[in-house]
Amino acid sequence: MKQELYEINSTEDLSTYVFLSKGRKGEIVKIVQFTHLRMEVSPDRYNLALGDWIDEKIDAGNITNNGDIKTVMATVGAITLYYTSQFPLREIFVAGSSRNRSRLYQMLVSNNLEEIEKDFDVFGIRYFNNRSDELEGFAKPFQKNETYGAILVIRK
Amino acid sequence: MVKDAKKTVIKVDSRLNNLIGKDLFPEKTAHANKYGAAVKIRNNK
Repeated sequence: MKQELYEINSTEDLSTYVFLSKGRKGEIVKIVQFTHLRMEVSPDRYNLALGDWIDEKIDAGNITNNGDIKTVMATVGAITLYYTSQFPLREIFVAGSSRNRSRLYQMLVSNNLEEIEKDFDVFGIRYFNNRSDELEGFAKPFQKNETYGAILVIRK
Repeated sequence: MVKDAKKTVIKVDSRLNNLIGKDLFPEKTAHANKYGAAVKIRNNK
């Protein structure tokens, strides 16, 4: 995928990545972190979290609205590609901090699905019902016309 | 600058090492543990 990307720095253990979003609100530090999940189903499942570093702390629910969402998400995609090239057996779980954020992630995946599927098997996890953030207990191959609360990607 | 995502160079920055071992997103991790850890994969649509 050829798209404008930000420069990325990481910690030595490759769990945490930092880049600088540059847009109409100025420069905002973005942090991506992969965190190991409990081993109920897969021993190699990791949560991908994205947030802003504001006033010396993380804001995971902030709507940055810096006008550079494509570049930010392409950078997150590049980080995921890199991370799974280093740890190819790790499954990556992604859930938005709200339904709106999950919808945004889903839309970005839908719009780039063919490109993403060159490197990843992509699965969607639906909401259990319309009233809660609870998710169904299984992931199925991602389909563009479905509504998902979370996405799971596995490197091919 | 347009770059190829597959050729992206990611620099290890030792100044970030104070972040190692810290869960910066405990609420997201808790949510993922609650719903994501038990998700089984079905390959049929």
